[in-house]
Amino acid sequence: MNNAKPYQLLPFRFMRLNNNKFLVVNEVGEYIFLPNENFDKLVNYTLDRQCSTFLDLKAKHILTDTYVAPAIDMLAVKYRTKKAFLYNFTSLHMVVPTLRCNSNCIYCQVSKKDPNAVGFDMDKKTARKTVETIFISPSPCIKIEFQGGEPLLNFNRLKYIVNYAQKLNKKHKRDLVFVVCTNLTLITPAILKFFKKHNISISTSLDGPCDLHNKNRPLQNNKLSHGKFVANLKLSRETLGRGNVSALMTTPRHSLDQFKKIIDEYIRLGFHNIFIRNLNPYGGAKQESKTIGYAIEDFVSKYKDALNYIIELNLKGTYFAESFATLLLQRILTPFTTGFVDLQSPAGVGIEGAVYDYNGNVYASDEGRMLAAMGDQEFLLGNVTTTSYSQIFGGDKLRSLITKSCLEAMPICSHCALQSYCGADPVRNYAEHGDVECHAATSNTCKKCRSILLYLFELIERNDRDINRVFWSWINRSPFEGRAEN
Amino acid sequence: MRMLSGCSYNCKKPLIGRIVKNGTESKYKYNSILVTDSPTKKAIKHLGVVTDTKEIDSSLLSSGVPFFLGVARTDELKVGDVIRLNPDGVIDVLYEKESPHNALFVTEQCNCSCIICPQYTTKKKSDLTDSVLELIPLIDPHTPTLNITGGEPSLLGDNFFKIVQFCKKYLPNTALQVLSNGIRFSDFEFTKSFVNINHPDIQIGIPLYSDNDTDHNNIVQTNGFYKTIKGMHNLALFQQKIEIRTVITALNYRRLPQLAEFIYRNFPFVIHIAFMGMETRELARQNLNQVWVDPYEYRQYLEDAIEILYLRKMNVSIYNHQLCILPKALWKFASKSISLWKNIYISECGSCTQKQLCGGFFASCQDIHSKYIHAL
Amino acid sequence: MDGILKRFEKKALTLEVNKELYQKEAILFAAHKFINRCFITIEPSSEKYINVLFRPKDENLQLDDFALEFCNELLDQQVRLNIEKSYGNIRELIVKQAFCPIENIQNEIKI
Repeated sequence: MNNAKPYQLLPFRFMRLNNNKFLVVNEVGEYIFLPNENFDKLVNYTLDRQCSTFLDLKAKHILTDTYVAPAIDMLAVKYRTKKAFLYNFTSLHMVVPTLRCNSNCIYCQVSKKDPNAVGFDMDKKTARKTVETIFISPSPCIKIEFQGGEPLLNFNRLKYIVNYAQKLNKKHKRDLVFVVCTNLTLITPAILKFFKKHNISISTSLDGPCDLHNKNRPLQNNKLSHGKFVANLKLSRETLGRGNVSALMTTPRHSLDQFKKIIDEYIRLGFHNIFIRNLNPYGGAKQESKTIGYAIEDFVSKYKDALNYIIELNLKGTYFAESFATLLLQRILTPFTTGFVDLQSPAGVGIEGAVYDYNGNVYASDEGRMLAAMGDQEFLLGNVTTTSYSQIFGGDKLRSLITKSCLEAMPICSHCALQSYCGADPVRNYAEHGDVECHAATSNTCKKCRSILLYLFELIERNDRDINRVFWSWINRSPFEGRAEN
Repeated sequence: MRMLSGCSYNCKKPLIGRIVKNGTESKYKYNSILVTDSPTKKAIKHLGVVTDTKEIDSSLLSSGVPFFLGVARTDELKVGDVIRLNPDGVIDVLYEKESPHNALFVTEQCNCSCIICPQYTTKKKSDLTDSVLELIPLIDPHTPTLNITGGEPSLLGDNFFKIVQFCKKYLPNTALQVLSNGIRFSDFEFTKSFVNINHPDIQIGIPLYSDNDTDHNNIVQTNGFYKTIKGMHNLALFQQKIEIRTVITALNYRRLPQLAEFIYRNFPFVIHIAFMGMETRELARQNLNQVWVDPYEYRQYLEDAIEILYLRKMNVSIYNHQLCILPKALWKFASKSISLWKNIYISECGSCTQKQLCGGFFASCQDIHSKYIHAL
Repeated sequence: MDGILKRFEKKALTLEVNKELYQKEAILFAAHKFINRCFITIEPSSEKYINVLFRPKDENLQLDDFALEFCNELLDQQVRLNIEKSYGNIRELIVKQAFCPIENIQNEIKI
């Protein structure tokens, strides 16, 4: 070792957890809890080199008293692993075959059109160009996800895109998968037959038990959707298999007190996980924020209650996971990368996922498309019929956006202890306060992620064997020790 | 390895051959050694003869064929086993057809001096390649697995590659496990040459004693920690199969859970982790005061370490531990890992109901074992 | 609080921070974290001191507790700046090694 220092510190970030300890996190997200006294000794170079805390810190590459180069080597391997989501470039391609929708969800972000509206469907030429553009992406895995409106209202175009993509893939040989985001009300056996033949899975929305779901997601003409939803869910599962139908939810204000009921409904209908999402500040949701909006602190408080409820259910023998917590736990507890487009650094806009609108416009994210529907083209990257792939995905607009979406270079974020687990969402930042950079001090996303992460750390620190087993069953996507599923 | 002895006649240099017995004399066309209790004239057409008889007809001896007389326990020798007859009368059993644990000892040289090492090793050059290359073609090609060990096999350099190559040629269906400290694999070119042999089924078993260099290097008595790690990473670059082996001692048992976490974070690609009980021979016996800890004392640390790895879906086993001193939750990880020829049970085992499942003890540990051993 | 003097005036809090103990960057980083709760002005007051003036956005903010919180944050930021100096170029080397591996890391380390 050089100088008079007994050990060399390696890059780490820290934060006070409460009055008596610090959370210390190394460059690749490995963490340790240090009582104040030990943190003090650590930074003043007076930590006893024989004590177990010193050895713990050495093993986590937070300090070294022997060699620096091998520590850099090992950290580099793990750093590369954490950022591996960057390797493949754009793998998620969201395609909008139509803006028409038969639903009238109270929080709709999309500025959807009536089922009979004209001029909002993707035409054949645009569909063709869209698929060809998708395959220029170098990614070995391609996921084409149909969004809308309600994609099934333009089922013919959907079929065309699937068939054409599979035809092109004979030459490209990628790992090609399809997902259809649908409200399930228009599903028919014929449609399911097509899905099964082409290995297409379904992502749908379930906001809770009958009353709540119908309140949030009525159909046009005030018809109710829950009954049809449940019937078609059953049919879809029978045809496609349980694993190929997943659901997520949206939370308007009146849902905040209903999380327990919503979770129970998910379990009743045979789902194994739920993604408890807060409202996004786009489109209809923004306009209706007075009636359906809420302070992020309220959401977080209810979310924690819901998480506790779900953990209790697991401890009693029901395997059921919360998806956002699972994502964060993977980032905290494993050395592996997670590809979650909405929360990563650099952000996933364009480089992980892109949206191809019905008119061929390509947006950096789905939220960028929603802003465009409100008149703001800030995140328009080009159009498949008029702009080249390299202009869309390699142009100045996207490059500048990515440069401004690295947490490592943002004030406050750059030295936040939770940086490794968090991410940037430039489109949301722009929608919330007018520019793409993260303003952590005022950002709702920061408040939410920070609160939830700190709560998870609280649970992790307990080192409770049963809670640990629940967390790992979520990460592994299977119950611990083959315990019976619900 | 298993050893027998007798009085040798006509044996001027070491001979390697395959065992045949009465009724199976024609099983192997060449290099056959007959094991019989009553040698006849037909015996001399073999490479050598082993018998428990103390006296035989002098006409048989004057044939010039090596004879080993008065050998006790010849029933331990089975047809198909490969043995080496030595001029001093010692018979080394190099390969046992019916054993699941066979090893090629390729060198006694080692670049570490692990204080728990149960093998005799030396820092001097030692290259047993020639006799290993003689042995390999005699091994039954249906043998499921074979270890390559020493000393440190990788010190043989090109000869090490040659041995692996020979195994690929003569035993293409035999899975190989190389026991190595991994240090030479920190050289990228060495690893590349190893991988280029392209053996269809080979894994490297590498000892890692701790999550930090201070403790690990203290046990291996050399500055090896980071080189071993580099070796593992180089092998992983080529997607080689790696197993981590951790002998549990007084010096490292307290940090077993931390080691488990360290392995998961840094080597999640390893195909298996083995927590091993000590074999108290050679250096381990010499250093006993320093290294011995009653396994019963560290059972909680071991359980915590295994829980950590099991939750993370890492493949983990416990070797060389008796069931009566392990928490019941760990029984499913324990294997019968001790080579048959040195595997025993002790008087405290009595009529234990779990003897079938339990791995028992090393013969060398007859007097050194947990004081909590009891029949279940 | 060493090196920090507190003054409460009307509904505002002024902290005079000793420049010899706390770097300008530490003060800026610490203050920035609280811009959601206060309007903040930073200006030099004398040769040795920098003034940080906090005007709360919410009049219910407890200025006493707030002052303590800020002082802790200031301390943490200064500790962080001190530690960061000691890293040298290690962080850069980690990222470089991850994406563009270096032949001999040992030679590149500057601490």
